[in-house]
Amino acid sequence: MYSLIVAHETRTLAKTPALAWILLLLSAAIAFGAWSASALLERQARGAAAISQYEDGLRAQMRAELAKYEEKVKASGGTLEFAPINHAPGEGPPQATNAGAVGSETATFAVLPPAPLAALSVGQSDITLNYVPVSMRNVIDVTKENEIENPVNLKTGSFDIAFVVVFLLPIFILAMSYDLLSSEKERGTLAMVLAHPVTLRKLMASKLISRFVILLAVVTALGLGAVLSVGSALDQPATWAWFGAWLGATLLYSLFWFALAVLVNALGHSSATNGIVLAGAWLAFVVVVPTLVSVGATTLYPAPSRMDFTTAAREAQTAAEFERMRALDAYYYDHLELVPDAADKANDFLTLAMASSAAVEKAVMPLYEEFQAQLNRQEAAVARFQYLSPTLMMQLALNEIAGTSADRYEHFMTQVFAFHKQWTEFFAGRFLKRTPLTTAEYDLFPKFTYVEEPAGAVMARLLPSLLGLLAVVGGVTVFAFAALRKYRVAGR
Amino acid sequence: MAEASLSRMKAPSLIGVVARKEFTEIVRDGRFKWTAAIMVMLLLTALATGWQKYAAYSAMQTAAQETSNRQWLKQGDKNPHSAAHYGNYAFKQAGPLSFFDNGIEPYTGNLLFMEAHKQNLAISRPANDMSAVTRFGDLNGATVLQVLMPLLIIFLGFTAFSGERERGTLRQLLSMGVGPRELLWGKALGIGGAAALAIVPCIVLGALAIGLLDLSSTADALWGRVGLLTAAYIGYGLIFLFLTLAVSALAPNPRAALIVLVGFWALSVFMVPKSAAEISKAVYPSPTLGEFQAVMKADQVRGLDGVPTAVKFGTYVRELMKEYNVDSPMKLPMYFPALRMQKLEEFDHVVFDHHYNALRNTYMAQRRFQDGLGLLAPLLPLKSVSMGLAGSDLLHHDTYTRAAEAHRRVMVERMNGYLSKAAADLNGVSNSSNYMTADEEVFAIVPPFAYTPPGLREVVTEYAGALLILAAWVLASIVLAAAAVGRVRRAGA
Amino acid sequence: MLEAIKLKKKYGDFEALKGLDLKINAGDIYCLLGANGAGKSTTINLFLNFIDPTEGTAKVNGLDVTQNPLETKKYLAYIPETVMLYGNLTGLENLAYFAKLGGHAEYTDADLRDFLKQVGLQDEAMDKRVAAYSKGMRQKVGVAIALAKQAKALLLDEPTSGLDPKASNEFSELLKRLQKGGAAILMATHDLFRAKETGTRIGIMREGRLMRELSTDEVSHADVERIYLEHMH
Repeated sequence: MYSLIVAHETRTLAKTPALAWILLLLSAAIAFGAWSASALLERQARGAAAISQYEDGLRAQMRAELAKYEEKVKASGGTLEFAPINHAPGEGPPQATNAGAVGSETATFAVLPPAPLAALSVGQSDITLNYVPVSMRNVIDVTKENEIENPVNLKTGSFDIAFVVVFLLPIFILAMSYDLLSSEKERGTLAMVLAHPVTLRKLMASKLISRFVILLAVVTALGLGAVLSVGSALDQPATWAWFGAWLGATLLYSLFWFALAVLVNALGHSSATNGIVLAGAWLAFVVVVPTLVSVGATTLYPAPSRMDFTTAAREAQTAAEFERMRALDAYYYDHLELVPDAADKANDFLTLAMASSAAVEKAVMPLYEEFQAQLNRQEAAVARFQYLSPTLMMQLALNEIAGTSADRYEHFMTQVFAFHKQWTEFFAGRFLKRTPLTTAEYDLFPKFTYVEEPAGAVMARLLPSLLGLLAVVGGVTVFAFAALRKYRVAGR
Repeated sequence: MAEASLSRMKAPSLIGVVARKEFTEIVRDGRFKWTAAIMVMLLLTALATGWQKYAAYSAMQTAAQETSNRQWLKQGDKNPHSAAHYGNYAFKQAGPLSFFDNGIEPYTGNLLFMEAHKQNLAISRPANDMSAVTRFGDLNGATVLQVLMPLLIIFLGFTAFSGERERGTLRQLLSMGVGPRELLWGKALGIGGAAALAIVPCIVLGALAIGLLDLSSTADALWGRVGLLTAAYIGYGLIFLFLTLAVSALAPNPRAALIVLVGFWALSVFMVPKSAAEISKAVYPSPTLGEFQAVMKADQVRGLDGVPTAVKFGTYVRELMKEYNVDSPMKLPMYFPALRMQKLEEFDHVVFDHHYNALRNTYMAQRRFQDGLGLLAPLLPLKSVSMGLAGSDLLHHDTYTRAAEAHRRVMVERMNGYLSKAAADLNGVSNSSNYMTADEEVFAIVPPFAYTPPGLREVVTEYAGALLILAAWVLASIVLAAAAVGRVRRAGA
Repeated sequence: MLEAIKLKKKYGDFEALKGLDLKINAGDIYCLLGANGAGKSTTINLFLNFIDPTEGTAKVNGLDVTQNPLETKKYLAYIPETVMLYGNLTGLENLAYFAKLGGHAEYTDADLRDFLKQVGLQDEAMDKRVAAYSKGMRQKVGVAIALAKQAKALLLDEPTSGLDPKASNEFSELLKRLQKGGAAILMATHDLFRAKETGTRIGIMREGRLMRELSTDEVSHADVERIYLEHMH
């Protein structure tokens, strides 16, 4: 019996022009979403490449100078000397021999590579900096920088596939099914059908199945197309596992909206009323509840004011300066090229600068950590409230699948801090011992490679959202089919 | 005789009659009660939270700026150039009506460090310190009105004609000689009145809040802004009102009317604005931070005109020496290191201006392009106008960053200038015993940082295009509705 | 075949049916007469298990409809006042669908066409979309569905309302044919003339009660009208 009704429903749907339009619009939206997300990824890559190239260029220049100097020394049979910190070119060993100069005046970039399915959900990756400069400068300074983008566009948000799935897909689903039962009743065919040995539940289930199957086919095809065109690491099985997770989440989310449509139809109102109620439900779940949750989380755990943070950091810095330096020292500290000739004195200032930087970092780190802790509390609050709306669960799940979640960025920053230590130690050690750098050592400069989170950690964060979705979908479906029992086919 | 007396009878204004019936019908309807209640609740919550945030931020900003200005003066005796390195902070003011529409404020930095040698970007972007969920949207009065008000109007009005047609009462109306003009304006008045019932109390409360807390002292033409803002949002509501009436008149049944209207709403409120943003980024590409910095640094060295800065500086020094008839820069009557630093700054300024202006112009161009696409969706120009009048738009942000940069240049120039004269005797002497220190009195030659946000006239000029598009939409929707209702008459319902 | 035993239906305080006793056997064409709101449609809805009785039982082929909702529908065929079909499908496709729903997957295309021919639907019309059918044509498809279902009991709700005299006559002929096939027919109608012409028994309902039962061969047309009007005030 099911197959009969499903076949009939599918045939009827196939003849509906509205459905064709809906599917066309959905396809166009996903294609557009894939395009704009890939444009963003490309943009990020360009930014990282541009500035990395520049800094690499500086170091390459230094290396070239050093190579020339090494030749000169080899030719004259002398030993390499360590250059003081001043920028007078020409005589003596070049700055390139001074590890302190190289380590503090050039920066290397720690790049967070996009996850294979990053194109599926932009998340916060349009406002976080995915290429962080690392030098011997105070590491916390680095956390203040953001990627630049037109704030007007940031406010609008990106049109990515997550937007299509989270916002638009429910609208399409509701458009296909808001009058599931009410239209049959209004048309009069419901009485005709139910006069045959078919239960209402079977009828509704069949209608649901036919629509769900169409949606499943479309979403799988489009999702596959998107991943094939803008995904990366397609040769890794892990990527396809994530795609499976994406597909599963999307289908669960779709099922929620279908079940909701059945529930509203079971209440027995007219098609127009169903339309209003479902539009209202969409608004509530997709727009209002997430907004209220974010207001709630930011009210409960307001992000500490960066103004206060900056002022406090400034005060720490000033205090460090006053403790350590007199006015003259402060002056020379800002313009090392002006320090009188005594090489040691110049180097002492760099030592002092490094020490001062370290001291400020130490003073400011607890503030920074409290800052991060508060933000984490905010995120935790959101994670707790996510069960209030399937849209929230879906968005959080998509961010984890696409690797654009706040947790992954924090994981990255932890590695950046560790790498900063590594970089500083490499150069500081050689600088303090006054050992001149050689070109061979230039090839040994520490390089940052991002170590991806273990899949288990990500799954652990993903699972609550997925399970939450499953529970909600199950609940609504049970409710919906229970409500069908009370449906009045005829009579007052 | 009876006929004459009949014609002397006072006929009630039909528009009024239709309006009153429509209004009564709607207000008694369950759907009105629900949607209006939700709308009022959300508006009040939005206004309350917006107000609290605004008050907190304004207090914080005023205090922080005062502190920073004071820290500049009290930074302790040191060399003037060091003082320029110590610098000052510029804190952004909140727009006067940002409690209603906080616009781009979460996405712009509100803190700028003004120091020698560098033109910094504004940092401390609130959005970076918030969870991804906040990207769903901020709850403020503007969002509620922009997203929900049209839906409210659609819900109230989609059965205006299609419902009457289905019930059969439309035919009766027409048979009684009610004309299309009366129908159109009567229903518009009735439905609009019902919608206003939900919205106006909140607006009045908002205006009261403004008046009570005496914002007018800090903002230019505050009531002018409020008036224009109200007009813009009323226009937006009218657009949806007349579109709803038009679709209701043309649709074969209420279901079709609802689908078309909700579809249009979803498209124009969600899909088109996001698509417009993405397309504008493709049409007017803007640089990433990495590219911005890389090109800037390279241009600082090689010069915008291809003449390296080092070469330019050499020329400058030679000319200076010729002017003062000396053979070494150390023999100049000004402290050469200070001159050098100031001149290098000035070379940098050219580069900075070129790149920062290009960035600002690109962002503005992207915004204007999106306003232009407002021909497809009335929300786009409304958003721009709303942000502009509330003082939370690009114009206000640019004014802030420009003011900060101007102040920075004044600070650096004055400090370097003072140093070049006061330490002239130290030229060529690098000796710790002859070092030059300045005190608070010297630092005071730099005025405290303050700036004036753009005035109403500047805002209106900037958004004239958007306002026009909005007005065009209102007109077009009225014309469409009139035509649609006219067709009802002729087709005989 | 169709039996109502002390059937009552209450909507809150309103009694739509105040205890109905009815028995319709195979070969009966029972016409239920009465004003709007007399309880005719309620009776039919009760047999179809579209609503639950407050008290009493409705039986189809000896089975209680509330206990055997699906089983009893196998024996029933329902033709509402306006036969609503799926507009985008043809008459033939509609018949095929409903026949299968009724549990008869064995019919071939030829069989289905034969049913449609039996009810008098033109050959050309069989492959046209139902949206273009007239009311009479749709009703014919409805009867074809009943035929295909091999129903033992037919429930008809105002079948001749809105039909011109010729179509009405054709319909009567169809009914007689079904009757000869051994079906029990319950027909709610306003049409006194048709009731006397086609029916075997007449029941007059008023305000939820069966006031009077007649055998049509015992009364004339004029009698029917007189008795009907008598019970109407």
